[in-house]
Amino acid sequence: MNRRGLLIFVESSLELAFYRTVVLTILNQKKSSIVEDPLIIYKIINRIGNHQNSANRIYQKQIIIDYPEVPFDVILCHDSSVYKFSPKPPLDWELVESDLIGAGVQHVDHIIANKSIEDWFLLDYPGVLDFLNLPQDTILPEGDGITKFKSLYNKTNNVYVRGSESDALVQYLAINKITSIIHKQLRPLINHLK
Amino acid sequence: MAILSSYNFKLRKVIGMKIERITIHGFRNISNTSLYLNNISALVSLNSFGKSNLLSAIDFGISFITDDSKAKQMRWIPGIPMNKKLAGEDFKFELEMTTNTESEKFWIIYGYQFKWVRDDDAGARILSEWLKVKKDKKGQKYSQYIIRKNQKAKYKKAESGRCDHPILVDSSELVINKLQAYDSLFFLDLVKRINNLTAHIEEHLDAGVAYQPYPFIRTDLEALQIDNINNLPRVIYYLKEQAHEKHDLLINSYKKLFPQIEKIEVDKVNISENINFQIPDDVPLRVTNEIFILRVSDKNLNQPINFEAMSDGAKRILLLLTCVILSDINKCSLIEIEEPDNCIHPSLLGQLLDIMAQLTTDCRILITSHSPYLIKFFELENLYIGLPSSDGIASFCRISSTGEKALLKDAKESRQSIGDYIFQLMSGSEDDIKELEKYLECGSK
Repeated sequence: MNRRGLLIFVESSLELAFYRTVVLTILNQKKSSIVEDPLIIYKIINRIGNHQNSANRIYQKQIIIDYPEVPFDVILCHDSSVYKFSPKPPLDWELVESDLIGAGVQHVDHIIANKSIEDWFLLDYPGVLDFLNLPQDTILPEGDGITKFKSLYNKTNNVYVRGSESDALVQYLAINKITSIIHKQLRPLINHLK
Repeated sequence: MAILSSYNFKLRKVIGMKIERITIHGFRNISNTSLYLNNISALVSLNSFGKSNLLSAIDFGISFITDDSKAKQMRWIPGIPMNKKLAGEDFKFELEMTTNTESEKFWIIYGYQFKWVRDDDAGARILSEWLKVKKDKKGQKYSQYIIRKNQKAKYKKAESGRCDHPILVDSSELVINKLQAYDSLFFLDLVKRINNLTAHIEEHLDAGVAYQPYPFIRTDLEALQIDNINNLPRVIYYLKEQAHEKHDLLINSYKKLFPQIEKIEVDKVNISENINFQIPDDVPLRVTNEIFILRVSDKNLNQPINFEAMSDGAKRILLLLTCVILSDINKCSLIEIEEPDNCIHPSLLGQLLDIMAQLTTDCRILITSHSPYLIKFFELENLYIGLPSSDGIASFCRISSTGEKALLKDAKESRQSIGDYIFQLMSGSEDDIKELEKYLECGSK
């Protein structure tokens, strides 16, 4: 095999659903049909225990063993702000990168959502409202992306939990519209998929 | 204060007050502890330090305001400080709270101090009491509404006047209780709100008992009172009947944590055919002719099952969420929960905290925990740490703003979560404890 693989690390199933759909959308723009690429692998960084080492463990114990002859590039996808109920201290993404490079990865890139990925989702506000079955004239609540999501969920007599209903939510979003707005931030991913 | 006095609140059983700070002293081994509460705060310490004592002290402090049996409460032996250093200390309790009218927010400080019962008859008497109020506006200062020393008490009679109008109270009576009868008092609504303060303490949260069909009901309790939590199927049944939206919110929240759950339903089962005797109407506890059975449909099961058959963790989470929802319905100001993380998988803890915070409006949640897995999800300003001391006195301190940065940095450098790092230091040597102290507001500088 001469191809390079792409290993995408995300923080939760929310990002997983989003980036998987983004990748399919980009691939779809290039090809006539949507095809999952077996050499694009998505992994959630588990943060239950010593979470700083999780990415490195996954790379060494799973990726290298499963694909011994494929060189993998890595993209680390994360938010620029720290969510209130996320584990502390926040993940040190520079450290994750240096650990991976130390383990033999040649290229590590970052895709950083400005504040949170919810802020990106809200770039398609009508899609979010549609998903929540809220009227299209619903006023956008105050606050950051997560606070806005919580307020909108509250209007539906529900709570917002990051990562739940991720696939369903992402299906309602106009991913083309969102990716066109954030194409600069998505550059590492777009470049790899060229 | 015109708006607060003129606004006609619908005084149901309770009216919400948001507790911002609790200061407490002189209960068992609790000494001068202040807690600044946010949505969810946590107490962390070793075993037998004083976490449960602090929860009991807060519960006692609030119930002293609202209960009629103050003379008895000041003689309550289990609360009296037995620690050598605290022996003879008075009980002191102060709350800083906020409350809203239609258009304004107010800050309130209410507190009292009493002397515990003593052999020389000098005890079991209220020593002081105070109430201060200010509007939530920049530059506003607290204005005195009640001031008292022993049995000499004064209150503010007119909004524009001073706090100099005398009121007669005996040594086991609080001014705040007595003023409830003053119909023309300009701050009567506020007095009533303080008199309606409620806190709920959950020491055990026994998921084993709460799901069993329970044929006894207390006739003095309404179905959705939080004291009924030990009969969860019945509570959920009446939640659906009387507070449908809250019921749906509860089930929706639960399903967020357990997406494989499709449906949770309660069956009301009539068992009257098994009862062959007449029950008088005026008994305090009567056998009902109904029992309630909670059933759950899981997408991986071929039929609904009794919720009792679910795992301890799954049962405990539903109990916890119901407890929080009931607290909110009952406008409870504070709910205290001992070790909510027991039996619950670490991967759910962050989401559980997040959900609990979203389910409350004015109600504060104070928990105790021995779990680094839970503590790591807390914002550091909401953590209170009890440091081991040689004199047996319990004092809880929160992490200082400078300590917060240092703690995050040090935990990161040691590649540990905040929870692991704190528990490791707390359980370590004297040097480790000193290291931990440096991060705290009451620690060494």
